[in-house]
Order: sequence, then structure tokens, then C-alpha cells
Amino acid sequence: MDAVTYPEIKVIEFVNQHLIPLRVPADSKLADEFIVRWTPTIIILDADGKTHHRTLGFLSVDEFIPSMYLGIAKTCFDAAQFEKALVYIDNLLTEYPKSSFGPEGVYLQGVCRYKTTHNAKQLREAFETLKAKYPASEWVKRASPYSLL
Amino acid sequence: MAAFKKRRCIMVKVFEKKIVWETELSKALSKAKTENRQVLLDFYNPG
Repeated sequence: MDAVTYPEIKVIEFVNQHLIPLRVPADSKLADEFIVRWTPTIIILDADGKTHHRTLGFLSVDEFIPSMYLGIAKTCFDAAQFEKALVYIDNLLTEYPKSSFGPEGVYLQGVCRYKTTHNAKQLREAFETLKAKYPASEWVKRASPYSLL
Repeated sequence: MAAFKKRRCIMVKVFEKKIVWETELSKALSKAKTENRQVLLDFYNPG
């Protein structure tokens, strides 16, 4: 991450604009508290220190930024801020449609849209989008019950 | 004065071209609360 992803200007600008960056060695007490056993481990926390998103392993620039978008969206989702979550998911899917975080983004988008409209059609559409755009993704299976709505 | 401003501008640009990491959770959370942002917590291998 230090050699490839973090020095990238896109990443620097994204982090400076959206996040508070905190860096801690993996042999620290905090690593034990977060049950970190391997690096790189990246976690998105809310301002109360609660975990909302976690990744293990190297992320290239084109995976790191979508992962951060998804992490911020999940934090908003968990706080029931569905409209705000949709903004970040939209950024993820528009800017990085080919990212491996795209399918989860589409799933969460469908759920957020359902939460804001109470229209089950939104869930079925999420399933249809997943099936069309990411047919090999596990998220197609996770959304498959929505095909019945 | 102009030279000072120019130098400061260059310093700011250099400063902006890297991620400035916090090293303490409490400070990061406090900033997150104030600035209404999430914390990116990166665990690295100290070597």
C-alpha cells in the first residue's frame, strides 16, 4: 500500500477530502482490540469508534477508492442515513463500475432505495442489475429472493 | 512578504501531496466527530 496506493494523488485527495486517516502498527494493543492478525487490514470506523467496513489484503488505487466509498456508505446505512449512503454508492458505481466492490454497492443501493421508498420493486431491480452486470458475483445469490417480489 | 507567501504556498502543496496520518485513535475519533467524517484505520506491518 505504501509503495503503490497511498502515494497516488487520487488516493491522497480522496482521503484528505472524505476521511480521517489513522495508522497503527499491527503489533500494537489497538491491533489486538480490533483482532488484526495480518496486514494490510483496513477498517472504516464511525466517530464513536464502531467498525462498519473491513478489508484484508492489498488494494490497488482502483479498488481502494471504491472500497472507501462503500465503507462510508455502509457507515451511513448503519446510521439509517439512507439518502446519504446512496450518494456514496452512486459515486462508487459511476466512477468505478468494474470494481470488485460494485456488486455489494448495487445490493446496498437496492436496500437503501427500498428503505427510502418502501417499494419492493427497488429490491427486484437490484437483483436484475446484479444478474445483468455481475453474473458471477455472490451478491446475485444473496439478492436472489428479491426476484420473487 | 511575497517571497514568504510563495514559499508557504509551495510548502502547503508539498504537505497536501501525502496522507497525513493520525497515530492516536482518540485524536482521530475527535477529529472525525468535529469534521463529520469516518476514520480510515490502517494497520501496517512495522517490519
